[in-house]
Amino acid sequence: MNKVIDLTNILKPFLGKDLWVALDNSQKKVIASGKNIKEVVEKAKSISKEKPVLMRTKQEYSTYIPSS
Amino acid sequence: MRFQYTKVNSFSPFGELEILKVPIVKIEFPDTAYNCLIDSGASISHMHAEFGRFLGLKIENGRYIPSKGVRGISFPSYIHTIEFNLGGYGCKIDVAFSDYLDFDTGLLGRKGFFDLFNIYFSQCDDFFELRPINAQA
Repeated sequence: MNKVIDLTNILKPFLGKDLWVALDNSQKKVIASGKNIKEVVEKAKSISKEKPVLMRTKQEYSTYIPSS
Repeated sequence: MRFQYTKVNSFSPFGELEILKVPIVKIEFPDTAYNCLIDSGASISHMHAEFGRFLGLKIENGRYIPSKGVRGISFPSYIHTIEFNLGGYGCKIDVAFSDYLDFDTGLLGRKGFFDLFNIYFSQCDDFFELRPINAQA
């Protein structure tokens, strides 16, 4: 069976905030967050030896189709 | 390579909170990884300029293009060629970096990324597959 990765609960505290978050490698918890991406990565690496997984917290997925 | 869909929170065009199931992959760089949406609606891949600067790119030195969202409003982007690892495959594609990308993840679009993989979406079954077109993908 294919089980989805569920980020809804772990990202809920950051909903609508314009932050960078670092997730652990399994994407089950947020290990660092903040406005500055470099600081977020440094903080994540001080907490865990795993490679942090970055994303932002704008929560817009449905209306954006960039072209060039 | 088979990947699971990811459930995320999103605001609808009417401002209501909804949960979406989207095809996101984790692309890997030497020091970090970055979640990116596979976006067949994007003509070229896009990433936030802050992430590009974190990679060491001088964003404004890239080739300028005006990107457009679905609302037709253009915003400045700068193209750089970057390399990353995806599921054990080395990828090298052009990416438009912008400070105005209002999006949680990077976007992997048609030019470049879709040239590297045949992509099969099975949203009903919660998975999607990337099939490298050649060993260099």
